[in-house]
Amino acid sequence: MATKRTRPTRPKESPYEKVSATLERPVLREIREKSANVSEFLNEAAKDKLYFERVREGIKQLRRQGVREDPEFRRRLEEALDEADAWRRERSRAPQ
Amino acid sequence: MKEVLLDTGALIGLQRDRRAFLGLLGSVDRRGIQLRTSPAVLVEFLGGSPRALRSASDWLMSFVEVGTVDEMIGRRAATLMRASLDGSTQASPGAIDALVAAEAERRGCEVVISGDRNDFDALATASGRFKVIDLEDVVAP
Repeated sequence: MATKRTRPTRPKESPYEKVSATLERPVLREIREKSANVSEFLNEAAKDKLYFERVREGIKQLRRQGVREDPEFRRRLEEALDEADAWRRERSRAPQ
Repeated sequence: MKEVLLDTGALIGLQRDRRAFLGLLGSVDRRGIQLRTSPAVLVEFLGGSPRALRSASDWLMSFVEVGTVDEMIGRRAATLMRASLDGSTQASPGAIDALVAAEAERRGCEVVISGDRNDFDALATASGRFKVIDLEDVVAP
């Protein structure tokens, strides 16, 4: 019975380098803190993205149900939000 | 990320007026605003929702992020409530309104959309850190 020959496979090149290093504790602590902040930032960004996807889905659902936007409501709300923005800018410029 | 807080009155108003809610969601999307509220409002709105409107209330609340209540926010809410009661004869904000105001301060939200202008104006004056938009003022008469 003939045995099937298999071609030796080449090890795939990894895009990452394996590095080992010895670090002083304060440096290691700083690296850990910074990478924790990055993952927190990425988590927040992913959460925000999901929130706005949900909002757009809600808009579509309401439109499918025949709800139409009220242009007057939109104008008044945008005006009120612009006023609040102007107040916020004014407040942030004022000396604390 | 800008955030806007909603009180129970605003949530009830938005549930009744779906055109207004569609308009608000449009502004949320365009401006990159997130809707938020206090857990106390969540209890009042969902718990007090009539049986026939429960699923609609749950659906509406799915667009609103909810904060937390701890001792610090409770104490700040009490301070704001006292200052509002002392500063105005017209207003009588309750604990839930005061928790919304304290949550607005904690999150740095500068806008509270309310269904109860008197009470929230008094809380906003006591705080000095947020503005009130009365839903009745923006809903078409």
